[in-house]
Amino acid sequence: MTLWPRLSMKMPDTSSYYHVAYTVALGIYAAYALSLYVRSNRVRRK
Amino acid sequence: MKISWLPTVAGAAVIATVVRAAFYTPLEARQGAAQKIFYLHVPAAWVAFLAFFLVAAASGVYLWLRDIRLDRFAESSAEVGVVFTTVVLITGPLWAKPIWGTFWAWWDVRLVSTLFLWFIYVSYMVLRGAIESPSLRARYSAVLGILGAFLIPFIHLSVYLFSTMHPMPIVGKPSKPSLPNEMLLTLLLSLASFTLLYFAFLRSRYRYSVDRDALAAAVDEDA
Repeated sequence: MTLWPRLSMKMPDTSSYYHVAYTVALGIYAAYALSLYVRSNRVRRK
Repeated sequence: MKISWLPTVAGAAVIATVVRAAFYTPLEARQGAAQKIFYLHVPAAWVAFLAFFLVAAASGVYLWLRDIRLDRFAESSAEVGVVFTTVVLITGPLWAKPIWGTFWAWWDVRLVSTLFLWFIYVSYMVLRGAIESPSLRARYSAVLGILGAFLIPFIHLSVYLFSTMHPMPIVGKPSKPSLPNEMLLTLLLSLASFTLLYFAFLRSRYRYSVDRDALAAAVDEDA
């Protein structure tokens, strides 16, 4: 039992969820940007 | 190759926000790194609401003026809104698993109503693809676009109206934001940069629909 529980508290390791969330979310935005680029170019070329 | 300023600025702002969130924003003591998912999840939810609200507004004015540009705007905003809602529905469970111990709770009204919102605007896009007549397509989808937006205030207020696991608003509430200054600044930057990304996507998607309609008109003339 400590007098300063906040300072001695062990922070949980949740970094894997954080990495997956950032990778997936930024991947979705990048994939959508790419799909817009490809669709626009396809229509303009015709 | 011509470089458009809006996508460039939006992309740079998003990268700067992610760098700030990852390396220059403190970890939350009880949640650890998972709390940083918040800087993607909250802006995506805000942008999704904005996008669907604008779909409803443009659809309402379309039904009044019958201007095809409003229909194109609504179509573009709905598609971009679905992308942002998809991010909300993926990042939320990834935060929930380490914090709540489960990815999803079917009894939680906030979660399920957000999923319904996603289904409504996915069906909006399916409906548009299923109707050939441009005027009928615009009219029917305008009605669905308006009805779907009625879920937005319900989703926002659901944490007050029902017992849910979802956290209460910490910024979008009548009292002062309950967040340390460094975290609040990162959140405000992420709200601004993802809003900019929404407008960049919206403009590109709108231009695509203009080009697509012009091509379809040219093909019809040739036939």
